[in-house]
Amino acid sequence: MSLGQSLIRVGTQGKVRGETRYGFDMPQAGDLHLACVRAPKAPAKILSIDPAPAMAIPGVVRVFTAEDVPGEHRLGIIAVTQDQEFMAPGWVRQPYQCVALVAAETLEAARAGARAVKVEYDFQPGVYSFEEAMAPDAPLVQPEHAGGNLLRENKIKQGDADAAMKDAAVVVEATYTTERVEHCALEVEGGRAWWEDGRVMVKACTQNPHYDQADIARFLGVPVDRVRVIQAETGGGFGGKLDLSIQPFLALAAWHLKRPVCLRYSREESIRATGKRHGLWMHFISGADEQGNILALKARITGDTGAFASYGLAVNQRAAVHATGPYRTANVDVIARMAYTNNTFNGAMRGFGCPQVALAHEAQIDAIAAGLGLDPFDLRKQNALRQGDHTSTGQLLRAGVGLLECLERIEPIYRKWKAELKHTDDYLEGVGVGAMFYGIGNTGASNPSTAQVEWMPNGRVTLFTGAADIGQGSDTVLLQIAASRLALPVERIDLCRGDTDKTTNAGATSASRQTYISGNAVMGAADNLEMQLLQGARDMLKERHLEVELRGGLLKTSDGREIEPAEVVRHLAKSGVRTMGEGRFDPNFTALDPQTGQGRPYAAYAYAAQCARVRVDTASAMVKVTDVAAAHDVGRAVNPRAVQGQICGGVVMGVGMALMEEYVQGRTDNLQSYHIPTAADAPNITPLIVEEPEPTGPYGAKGVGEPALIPTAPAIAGAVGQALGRPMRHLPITLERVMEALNAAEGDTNCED
Amino acid sequence: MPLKFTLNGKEVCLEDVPGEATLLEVLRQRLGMLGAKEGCGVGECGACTVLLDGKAVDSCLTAAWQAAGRQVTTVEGLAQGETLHPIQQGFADTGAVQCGFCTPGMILTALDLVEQAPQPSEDQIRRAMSGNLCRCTGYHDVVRAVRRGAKYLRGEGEEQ
Amino acid sequence: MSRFLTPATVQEALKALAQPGAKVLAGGTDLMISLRQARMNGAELPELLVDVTRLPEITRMELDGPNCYLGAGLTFRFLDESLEARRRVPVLAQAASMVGSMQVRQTGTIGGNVANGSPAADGMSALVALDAVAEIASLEGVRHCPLSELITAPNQTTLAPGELILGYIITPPPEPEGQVFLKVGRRHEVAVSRLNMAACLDRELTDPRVVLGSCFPSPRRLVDVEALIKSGKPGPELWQAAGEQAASHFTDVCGWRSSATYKVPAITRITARALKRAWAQLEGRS
Repeated sequence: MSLGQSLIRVGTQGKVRGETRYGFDMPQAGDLHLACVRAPKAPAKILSIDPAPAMAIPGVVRVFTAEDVPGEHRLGIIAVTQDQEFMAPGWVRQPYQCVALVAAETLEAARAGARAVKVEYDFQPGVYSFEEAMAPDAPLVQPEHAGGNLLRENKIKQGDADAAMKDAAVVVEATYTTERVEHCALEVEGGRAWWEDGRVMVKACTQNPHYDQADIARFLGVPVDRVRVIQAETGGGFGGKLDLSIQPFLALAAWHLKRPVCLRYSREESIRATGKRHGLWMHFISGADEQGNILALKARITGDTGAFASYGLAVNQRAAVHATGPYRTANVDVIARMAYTNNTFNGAMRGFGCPQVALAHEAQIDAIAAGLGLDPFDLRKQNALRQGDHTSTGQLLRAGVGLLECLERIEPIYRKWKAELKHTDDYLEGVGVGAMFYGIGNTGASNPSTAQVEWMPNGRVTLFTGAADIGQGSDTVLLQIAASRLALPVERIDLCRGDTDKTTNAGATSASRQTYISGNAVMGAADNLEMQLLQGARDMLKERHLEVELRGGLLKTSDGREIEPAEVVRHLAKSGVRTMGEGRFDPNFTALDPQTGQGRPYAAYAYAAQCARVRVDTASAMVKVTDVAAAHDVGRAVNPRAVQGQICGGVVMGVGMALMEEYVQGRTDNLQSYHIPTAADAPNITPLIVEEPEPTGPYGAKGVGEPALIPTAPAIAGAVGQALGRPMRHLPITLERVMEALNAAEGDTNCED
Repeated sequence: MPLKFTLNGKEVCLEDVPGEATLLEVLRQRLGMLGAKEGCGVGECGACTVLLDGKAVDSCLTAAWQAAGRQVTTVEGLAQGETLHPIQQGFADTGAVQCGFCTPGMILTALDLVEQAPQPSEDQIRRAMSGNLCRCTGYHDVVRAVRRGAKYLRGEGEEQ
Repeated sequence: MSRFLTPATVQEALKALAQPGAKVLAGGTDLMISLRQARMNGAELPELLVDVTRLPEITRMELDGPNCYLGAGLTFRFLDESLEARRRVPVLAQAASMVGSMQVRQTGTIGGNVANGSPAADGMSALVALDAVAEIASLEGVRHCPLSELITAPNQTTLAPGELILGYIITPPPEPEGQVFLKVGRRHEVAVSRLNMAACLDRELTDPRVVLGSCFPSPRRLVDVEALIKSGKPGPELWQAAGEQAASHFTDVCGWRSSATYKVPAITRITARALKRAWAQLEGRS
């Protein structure tokens, strides 16, 4: 059947023909255009907003301000931190926050109107770093928040880290930092909204249509059913399209004006106005015994979430939970703290804090190996989490732990590269390793998905899912799961996706959760559909105890009869019943203890190991990542090519994070100044799939989207560090940082002479 | 004076095109060619790539009037009905299409490359494609796609 | 709103450019970005855009004989792919191959590159190494100006309104096989030069050319480094000494600013590397 086959992604034909219409392509002739008026800096009180100069511009129809928001001002995905004002209500907390919205007949008029709106600000002192935010008497970014500027503190306490450190043969201590990173999905945010039958329709790019619907309804102060959100084809997300962006503006304008409206960010506005990956400061102390067994980790992590929490809680918690890396560590003392500041907000991005802490936990392993004179690769295998081990939250790993196999798959490659390392006058080579574990789905919280599978009277089958495919391939994977479960060819199944009128909530396309969680929901729906068909067949044949099974697309009875399921469907339809299976899945979890961080935050974990080979140019200090081998335990590869595609994409995003990506507010807000890797920067990649089945996953599958990225930057940092003979503890590894290390390394050599 | 050029083999004639209008704007807004995308507006990402007299250009950096009297090819002009262009087929067959936003531009750049170098090396492919950013694929499958498309274009059928 | 003109002759172009508010479009890869910016900011647009790229006179290339000439309308892609350019002025062909992306090279020209006056212009560094003298026309006539005098400050030139660069009279170094262009960027392709270097050596070291770009208001020949090379004995020590001289030239001109912690060692290393490679090319030929 289709499971395990590398089917071409659904929608490929339209994409290669240029016929696919993205959120970006939604604007139509006759639409009103919207443009945002954004604050230049923050914090500030808004003294006045004068729309008159804008209204005087021909074509400008309306200027909206916070007063026009009929419902809740404060929105946000995490219920306890709904704190983002899409239309600043009297004060501005972060730069580029929207203070007014202009609707006009043309884009030019809308933009001219936005420039013309006169806003008077009273700028106030603010806080722009974790340290400033936590200083006594610091001005409060979100006075409504109970904890002052501290958004959250997460602790993981297990055993006695201080005592264990005293017994350690080696203790390594270092500080690591990463910078803010922009998602840079190729499609900038775009969409359209209109008024229809007393409801607002929003069709835009998104990673989470049902959340969008709920928050738009709150924004408009209307019941949820007055808002319909349709996910437009979405050109990448990586976490950047999880928060609302353009949708509240579209909905507000369409609601008031009862006309179709469209809005598209420029790349600059997209970079300025949407969330970023948090840069983290990480201080790690690790201890190991003489044999290299890790005894303890003591880690302090701080971050700046900007003026709005967005996914800051999730990032902070995940950073804490994953700080040990995928290594047995009996004694753990981690404190992660995240503060509000007046910087633009940081939110979800592929990995939620894990790519950041991976830099630290992998460098610590290398440092332990160096301290003990042991092989860093062997040390990883020795300490790698195995079945039966406990994580730092005390969770017993019962099954599906494929880390060792991941390491074993890349080991020959790593050894070969290491043996081949060259140092010439022109370049220095190095190899490095990164490994990770990653909890699938939300941390210690319910995050269900639902799905339906319907057998239609015409004999076709429809899969209904609210799961947003943003290019990663969930449409295809969910169809493959449904097809496999029903033993049908994929071509027999139609897909209805991402429309809040037609599908039910599948949760966010985030946390690598759609294959595992929505996949399970689809399995459940197919199970349920089958049951209805069997039941319906007995009902139709009026034989209540007949044994029937669904096989090869037919209902087969124990007495040899074969019935088209559609016949049963039509039979049931007579009594007004649709033959639609319902599925729901919410992973089994327990919340983390607030004091100790102990609990079972995830039902399943993915594992991975990667190694990277780099070449450092001794003249320019440019780093070329020549090769990466990436082994990922995905439980079961529903679509191996799609898995490999995710791995390769993640690796190159990791190259960017390692070597060039650094968002500097106000300075790197277009693609000339914010660089992501090109084809020439991308390494040769060997994607390797490891399948250690996850008992709770659909056909054993778990997730891969975020794991693909997490080990790459640490592997590259390790490789550059090896080439230069000194650890690289700060990302990105810029020309300046490499040159400094090159100079220092040569200084060392000179001393030895 | 109307602006005239050949779009995907057909003459087009447009009135009132301002001098500062980009070819991308005219293609998208006046001619409905939505396959050309805008990813940055400053010639960095290549999502707006079209062929001008057979050569890849960033249509966001090209004034519409620069196309006067020339041949403009967009992704919409490649397939012959049901049959994809060999380069499109190469992209479709290799999994090089994820979100697909960069794909039309990628295909046109690849076409320019392959017209010039029918059997491009990996290094040639990576250099030529470096003006087309992709955030999904890591370019791994893009390189395979260009190779495969080149092979189809040479009439050599499927690559194993 | 701008008007757009595609003149058929240089004379027609010059007449158009003499009008107030006229602007040359010499490929457009920089100009269109500034127009986009202006439109976003509601700033004024040029009255008239004059597309000079179709003038046959400005795409002339003459690389043999005593009067070597490069038309301002030559594109980077043309120079990258031209076998004649590769053979005779490899330093320029190499630089051309490293400009922007294939798409940008397709439309970007060496005329526009110089007129835009970016300190990091790759084409400009190579042209300076070829001792290029710009031939600049206006309705008043033609004047000649060495490139080193054309750029006064980053993105500022002595080009007056109504003037058009027609091309460059160049004096290539005697031996094309000793020419190297190196570029450092924040990624491997499609990057603005953090620094670049055009280096040309001949066998007798009679006419060495060493140009450093992206370090000064415009790319600059390092005459002190060239003098050092002329009086030295080719080999690693000389290249290293030249590199150190280049770095001290940089700090003499620019002082020690924060970027110097990277640039000073990088200039030393890149200069030595470029000279080593240029010399290796010569030796490879003998």
